[in-house]
Amino acid sequence: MTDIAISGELPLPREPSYLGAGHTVSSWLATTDHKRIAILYAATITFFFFLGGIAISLVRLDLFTPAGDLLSDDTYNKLFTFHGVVMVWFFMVPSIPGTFGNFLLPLMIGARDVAFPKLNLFSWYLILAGGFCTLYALIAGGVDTGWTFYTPFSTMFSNTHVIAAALGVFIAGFSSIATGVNFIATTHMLRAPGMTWFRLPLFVWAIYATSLVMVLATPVLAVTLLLVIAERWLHLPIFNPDFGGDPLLFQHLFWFYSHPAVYIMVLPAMGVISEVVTCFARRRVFGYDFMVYAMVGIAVIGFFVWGHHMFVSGQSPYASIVFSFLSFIVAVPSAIKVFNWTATLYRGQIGFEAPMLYALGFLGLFTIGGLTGLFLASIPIDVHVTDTYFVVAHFHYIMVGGTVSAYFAGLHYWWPKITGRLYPDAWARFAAILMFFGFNFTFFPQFIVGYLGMPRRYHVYPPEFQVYNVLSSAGAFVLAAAYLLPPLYLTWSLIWGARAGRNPWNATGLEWKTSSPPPRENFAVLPHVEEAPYQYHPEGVAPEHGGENYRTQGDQT
Amino acid sequence: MSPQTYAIWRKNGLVWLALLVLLGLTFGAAHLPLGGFNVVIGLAIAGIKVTLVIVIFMGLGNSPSLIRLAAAAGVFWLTILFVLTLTDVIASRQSQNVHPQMTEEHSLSRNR
Amino acid sequence: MIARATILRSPWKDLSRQHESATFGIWVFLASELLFFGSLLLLYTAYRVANPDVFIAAGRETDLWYGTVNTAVLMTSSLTMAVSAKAAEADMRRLTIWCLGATVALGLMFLVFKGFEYAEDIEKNLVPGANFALKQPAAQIFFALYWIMTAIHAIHLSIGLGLVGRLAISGALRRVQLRENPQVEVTALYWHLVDVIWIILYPLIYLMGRS
Repeated sequence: MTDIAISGELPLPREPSYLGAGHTVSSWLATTDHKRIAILYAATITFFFFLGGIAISLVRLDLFTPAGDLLSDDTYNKLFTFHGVVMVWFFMVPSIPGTFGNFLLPLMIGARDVAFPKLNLFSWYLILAGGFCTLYALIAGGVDTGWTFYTPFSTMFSNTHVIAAALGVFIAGFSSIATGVNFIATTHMLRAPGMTWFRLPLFVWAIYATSLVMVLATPVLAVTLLLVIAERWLHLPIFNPDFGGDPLLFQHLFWFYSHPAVYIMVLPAMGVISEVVTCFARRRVFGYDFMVYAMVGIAVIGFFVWGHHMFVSGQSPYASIVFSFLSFIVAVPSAIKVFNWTATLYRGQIGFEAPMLYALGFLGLFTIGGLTGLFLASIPIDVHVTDTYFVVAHFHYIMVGGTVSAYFAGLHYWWPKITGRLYPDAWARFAAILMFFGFNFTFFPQFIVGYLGMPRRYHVYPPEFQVYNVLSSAGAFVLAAAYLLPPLYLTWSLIWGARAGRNPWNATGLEWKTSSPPPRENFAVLPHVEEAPYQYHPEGVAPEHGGENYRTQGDQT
Repeated sequence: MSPQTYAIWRKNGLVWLALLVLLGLTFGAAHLPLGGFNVVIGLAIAGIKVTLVIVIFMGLGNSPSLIRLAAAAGVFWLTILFVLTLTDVIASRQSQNVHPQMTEEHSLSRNR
Repeated sequence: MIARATILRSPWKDLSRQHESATFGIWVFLASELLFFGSLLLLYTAYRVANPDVFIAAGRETDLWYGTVNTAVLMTSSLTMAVSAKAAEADMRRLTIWCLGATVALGLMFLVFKGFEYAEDIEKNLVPGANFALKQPAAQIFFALYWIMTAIHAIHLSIGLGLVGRLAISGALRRVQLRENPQVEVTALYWHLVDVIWIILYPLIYLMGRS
């Protein structure tokens, strides 16, 4: 690997990389380097992903047969609750912001770190603390309320460790808020000279929009969980109908957070996809400005739709109509983004490296998930399919088909930058394709069986639904196998992988202008930005027609 | 006391006096038999006090517009939470009044 | 030579930029706090809309004097905090530290009065439960909200006391420079938020049913 600065590029730094700057445990656990914190987050969320995955594997195993013969009812309830709580708050919410957001935000804007590095480390410790609390709830016997903690079951009737689980999520919520504050301040205050708002990569905009949601929605969840704890522990009546309390107020407060939370989970994914699709199609993004407006629009309008989770809970029809209408509206910016990604592919020179396979998968799966969301936004349809597997399939298409695909896309795209190593692309492509098939086998049957009437959260079901459940469970095990592959070949690459050059994908973006892995201070010389992002080809000349080979093989030195 | 010290105490002290006067006012007004209007006055006076603290003590009056935007965003989102939730609360009560129930509690009981 | 911790921190190259950023960051956090307390206020509003008479009757049972005195105490602490922040800007070290100290003292006074008030509330059986003093069930919701909102406020106040106190001590011991120190403004803004929340809670908790 040479350090020769290519003319026109920034001089390469000569200090050790951030990985080499300190080898003790405390240099990691007391770090304020955003890149190391990103790795700490990556390890944490991976751990929780596999825990949540084990829980649901047991659930799907039980669902092979119509009778609840593998697990007791209570154990079954505890397992799907654990899966939901862990996956939502300890994987999905912190995954992309905590790992790629942390690692890349300062690099992409040309800064040396985030605005509040110590707060950044504290955010990680908060997730860890919340995680321990939740694990305690599991080990002590579990929680059976479902990840939604609905009252009055959670406050008055459940005999499980609701308080510990709620406390765990409460603590994790503050991690979210702290991260959000940090990223917002970083984006406003630390952009390099010349990096104006509309020259930012879309991933930065995505993280910014996500941070707005994290800061404004999470406090409401915090209060809601606190009230559940107060009611359960101190017997203070808040949602108890015997005293005039209204369980629906719990749902209003809970979903005021939890609907925007799904945008916390999907907006960063959209940011990753924009980066990957442009690079591997060798194309400028289509409609940059509208991509920005769409993301901010999703973040804002996403706050107005929460009542669509409550159409059958006793919410007034008047409010339901308002929420239904707004839920249709919120689909529009997402659709605009899908159209724009598709238009970005048009006339590109498309390569099918692993990151692009995941991104293409995202486009299809997110679209299916999003369209089925429209079905759910329609009150009459929702009344029929609410609390069935149709809903489960809908949100898994977006969360897993969407966000998890994007997470893997980002992992493979930025792995050379983060670790300085190249992974074996053949294995990566195989895993991506296996994941795509496993995913669809798992979740597509769920749309059908949900529509046919199988309720969610039940482990006993009528025998006529068995074929769909068998398909789904079989698919789940294929998916699980696919998930086990990346840890294997990525770890392999850390030891035996070829070393990556500065820009192995020949991508645009400031993160590719520094070494792989970057030094502790990110850049030897802080960049001065002069051009718009995604300059993959001259304006008005599509790569397809350019004649030149714009392929991604960047410098391997 | 240096003129600078005096100036600091004077400006902030005046706000403090205003706050105390408003406190007295709201305390007094609460004792007047104004029915439903009591709450309105109480909250209105609280609103004025809050505005004084935010604009002068917290310096929002002199802050860059970015900071005012952050404060305004908080207020805007809180408004969304209130408006949309209360829409449901009030609409439920109205439909309940059309079909009155025999329960003692005027709770937000739905479909009981 | 007295050691002073540098207040300029990585990744900032410019103290004024760091200061701007800290102020911006705390305001963003305050916006989140607005939603935090706002959720509790929403609950209060919803239940009041549903049970107006019961809430008014229950509100009569709170101790108006404790509440009013505490409001005055907290507002005064906001005064001393504001003066302290301005004094820090003007490099008037002694005034800054005295006022920080006064803020802590007033905050502690608030907590002491609150403690006495809580003791009285417990004696008057205003804790929701089997021996609750009022017979209408919704009154227990009023008081559940009372206990929760004031307790959460008190926790925020205690955190504020920690922040103010820490600043006062480090400043007095010359461990840290107070002039141009972003932490002063951050602490001040947080403290004023604690005051703002109480100003809003006061009429809702103490001024109901007094006419």
